[in-house]
Amino acid sequence: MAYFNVFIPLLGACFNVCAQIFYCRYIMKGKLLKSVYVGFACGFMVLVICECFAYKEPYVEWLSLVCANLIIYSCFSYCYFGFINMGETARRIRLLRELYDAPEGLTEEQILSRYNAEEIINVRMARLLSNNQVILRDARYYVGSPAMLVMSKILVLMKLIVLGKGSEHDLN
Amino acid sequence: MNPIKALIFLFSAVALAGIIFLINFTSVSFPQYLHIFLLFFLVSIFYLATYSAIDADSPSLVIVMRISRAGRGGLSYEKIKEYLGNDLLVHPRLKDLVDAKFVDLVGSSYKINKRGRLFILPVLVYRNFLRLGKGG
Repeated sequence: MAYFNVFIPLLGACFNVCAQIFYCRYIMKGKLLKSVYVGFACGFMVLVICECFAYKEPYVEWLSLVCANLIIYSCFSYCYFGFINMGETARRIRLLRELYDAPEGLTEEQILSRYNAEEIINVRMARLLSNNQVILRDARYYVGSPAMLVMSKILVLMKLIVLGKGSEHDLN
Repeated sequence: MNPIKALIFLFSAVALAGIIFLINFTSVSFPQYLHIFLLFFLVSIFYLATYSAIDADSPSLVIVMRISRAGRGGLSYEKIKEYLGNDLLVHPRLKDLVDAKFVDLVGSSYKINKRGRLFILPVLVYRNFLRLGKGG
């Protein structure tokens, strides 16, 4: 039973990954974000069911193990989401992909002809518009859902705390 | 020192100190050791992932902040493009790849090296299996 407690969050993580991949590939092809939610929910359900089976007295000890496993599972899910997001939106990954497809190397001009600021902006604007995080009215953009703005401000605050500057381009 | 390397070093030192403490001052069973290690390891990876996310500016968040600062008048597409050019969005990331030794700058040519290929391989395999595009 002690070893089972260690494996519960790992089991949840396995179900998370398998459900997410299955959903994205076979059910809602290409709906990546939805598949992440589905994967998380499946893994979480497995975790809860396993924890119920692993119940033992005293209650407080069982509860503390449940809390630890929830933290482990949540951290794993966040990191897995980070891995997925990295492949989907990270500029460095896209640049590496372009260079991977050109083993002989690429000059800066060649790189920019394949991947440049305009494409980066267009992809992000399309995503922001489709999620209603930004709205287009009379050829001008406005903030839509405030969630993204709140996230931006939190991130700027975290940068100030950890890095001492609100943006990587701040010279102070 | 690279901040990520510094964090890995720091977490490893804390983990080692924790193991020494647990061995000498507690009577913890082996499954409990495993559980504690798993918890510490995942929380460390969580912090590293979050640090990487706050290290570089996200273009989406920068766009939203710029639109917000424009106020009631909103912001045009041309103004957004004017602020976010290749110098802000592409060149710093290319430099990061060279600094991280995933890419070699040979003359005026950028070339991915073995380390870079190994790094990108899991992402490529994953995205190809899910039939997803290039991303970015």
